[in-house]
Amino acid sequence: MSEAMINGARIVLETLHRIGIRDVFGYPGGAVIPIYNQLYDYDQLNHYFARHEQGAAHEADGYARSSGTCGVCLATSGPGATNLVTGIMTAHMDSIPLLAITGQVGLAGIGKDSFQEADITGITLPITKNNYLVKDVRDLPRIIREAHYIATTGRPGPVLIDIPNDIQRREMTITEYDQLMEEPFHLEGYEPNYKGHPKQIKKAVQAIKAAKRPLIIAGAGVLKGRACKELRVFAENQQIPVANTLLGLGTFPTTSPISLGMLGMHGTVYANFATDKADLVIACGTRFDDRIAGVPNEFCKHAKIIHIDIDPAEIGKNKEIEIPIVGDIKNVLSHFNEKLQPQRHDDWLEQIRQWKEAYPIQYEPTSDSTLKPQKVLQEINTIVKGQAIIVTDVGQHQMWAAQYFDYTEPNTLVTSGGAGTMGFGLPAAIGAQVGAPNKKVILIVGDGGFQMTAEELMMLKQYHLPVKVVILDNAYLGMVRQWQELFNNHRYSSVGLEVNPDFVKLAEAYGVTGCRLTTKEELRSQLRDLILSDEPVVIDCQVTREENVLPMIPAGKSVADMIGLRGVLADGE
Amino acid sequence: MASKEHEILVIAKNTPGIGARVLSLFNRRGFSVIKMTSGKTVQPGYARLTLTVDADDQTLDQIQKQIYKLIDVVKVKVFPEQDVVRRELMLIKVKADAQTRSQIAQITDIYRGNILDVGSESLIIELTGDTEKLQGFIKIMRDYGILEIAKTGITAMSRGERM
Repeated sequence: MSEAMINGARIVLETLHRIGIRDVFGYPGGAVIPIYNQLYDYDQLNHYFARHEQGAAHEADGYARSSGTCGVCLATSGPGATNLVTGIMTAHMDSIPLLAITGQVGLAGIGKDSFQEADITGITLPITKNNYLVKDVRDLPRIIREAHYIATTGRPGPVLIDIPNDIQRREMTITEYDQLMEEPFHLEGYEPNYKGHPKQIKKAVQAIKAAKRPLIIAGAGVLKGRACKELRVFAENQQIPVANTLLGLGTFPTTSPISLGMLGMHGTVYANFATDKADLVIACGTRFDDRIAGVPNEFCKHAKIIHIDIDPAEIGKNKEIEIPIVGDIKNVLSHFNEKLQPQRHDDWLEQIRQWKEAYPIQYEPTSDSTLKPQKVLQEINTIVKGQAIIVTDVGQHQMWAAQYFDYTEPNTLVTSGGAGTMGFGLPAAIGAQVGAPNKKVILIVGDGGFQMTAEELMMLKQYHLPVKVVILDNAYLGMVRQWQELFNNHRYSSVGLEVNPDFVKLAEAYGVTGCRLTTKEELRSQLRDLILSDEPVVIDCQVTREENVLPMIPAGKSVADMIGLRGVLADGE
Repeated sequence: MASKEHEILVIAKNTPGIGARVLSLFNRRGFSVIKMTSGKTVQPGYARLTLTVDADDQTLDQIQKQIYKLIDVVKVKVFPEQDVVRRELMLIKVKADAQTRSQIAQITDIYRGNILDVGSESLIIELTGDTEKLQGFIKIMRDYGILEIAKTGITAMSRGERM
């Protein structure tokens, strides 16, 4: 009897399974037919059938963010592969571990402008941590393991594997495959440094002991380094207030008295004041991007800065740093906790308490029955109390979600921070629900972004995913409108969405319950049941149209230029 | 901060497209690369690239770190000013008739260049040296009329045993 064989397509599935992957988001097409042929009777992987490849990429991304593991998406060659590009870029900007697997035309067809051919490894060069074009089926077991290792270690990121159609069909014996799986791989030029340099740690500890007004800025690196516990011990023992970046929300309970919530362009007044008055900033897994440090030289200008990051290239990229520590955040914070006795900073915390009292996150409520978007989020927050996964799209609603929800657990905010990808929300919420099946997933989305990937609604029905889709419907591209109001003299150019579909009917067309809330009474009487239901629902909340996200530090400005400190624009602002 | 030219040595796994990977980075990060030379190394399977970049100290630091982040790159180093041999090869085609030919030949000799081709109206000269030497030669040849220049870009090596 001849020996059992395995082909390239089956190798893809089997190897994914062996490295611990359970769920794959994909869309079939010509160049991946061999892989789909194997998926047909391969029970160890669940395949989720997206309705657009961009959806598949964001779903895998949302899955990775809610589960803290690696997301996998699969698409065919050419347009299938290029449709993944926005999703890959989104994951790359936020350092999300993602494997993107694409089919490619057969080896002999490459470079001939064959049907559905695209140079996807070339296209994704600047938006992947690494990528591969597989030219020999015997490389496949190594490449998939290597790609997964690269995607999930060090500073995580997306890795793409492009597999020609004929490689998927090429066979080897099971024995040979098993042998290839045993072979270790060696990445000579890739050795993420996990241990912080002892001398730098010592310097940092001295600085922390000496500081009178220390501040922690906690970013997404703390989530990725699974260091939330260490951060909490550090902050509480040292009594150091914690400001979060957008992606860092969830690393430290925003309900804590020493939490400052989010900092930056639409951060809290007190978080931004603290950055301006601090004498020491301990920046953990954050990269001083322009939405936080609008003017790098003005940002934290009275503070010495300790910057802890696993990626050496982040040190000094945007801002000069006095005490850089390259290393794993969990490792470094553990060292801090061992070496430091508890401290108090009563005067500093009292100052912060006063700022919090004077400048809470607030808005002007309506006097009639109309709904303010912030009101809707406040109500949802009182229902879920930090126990849900909040997913957002991009725009005003995203900033309000950052401001008005409590985040008490890691991986409870799924949002596109660096890339700011509209259309991310719905597919990311689908992925987040698959990645955390026992959690309540609430999507906050605008009426603009919702329409970019609304086709993915079908998956809520198909896979019985009880995502709550809350549309903050102001019939505007609200954030662009806000900028046009503030900086372009109210010239609302192409931002009005007066001609919108009926979102309730749209939901129903996809087999999902839809309902519309337009008044405070409707919100009060219906919202709780809708949020607590076990079914997917689309809630079209029609809100006041011209609300602004405040406070705001305009782009390229610093704390001194912050506007709307009390939740409304003052005269002349 | 003042920007100036630096040579950067990159040793990488000789995978297809390693040059594109490095250059794509320059495009994406807004770094300015002036010249790049590449070739195989004494160790099989590795490529050696020498990049000439125009950068201030902070950018130079970023360039090194960003290049090192490429998975296939195993070594990145900025050549110091001292104790490094830098060379570039130039082919230059100059107008030359019966009257000027011998003058040009003499100058070429002084520069230790070689005449590779003699045509009725032109010469092709090969010259190796550092950037200044090549510039000096080009300046003189302008008087005779330069028809074409091809340069390889700088390649460099540290003196002594270490790379």
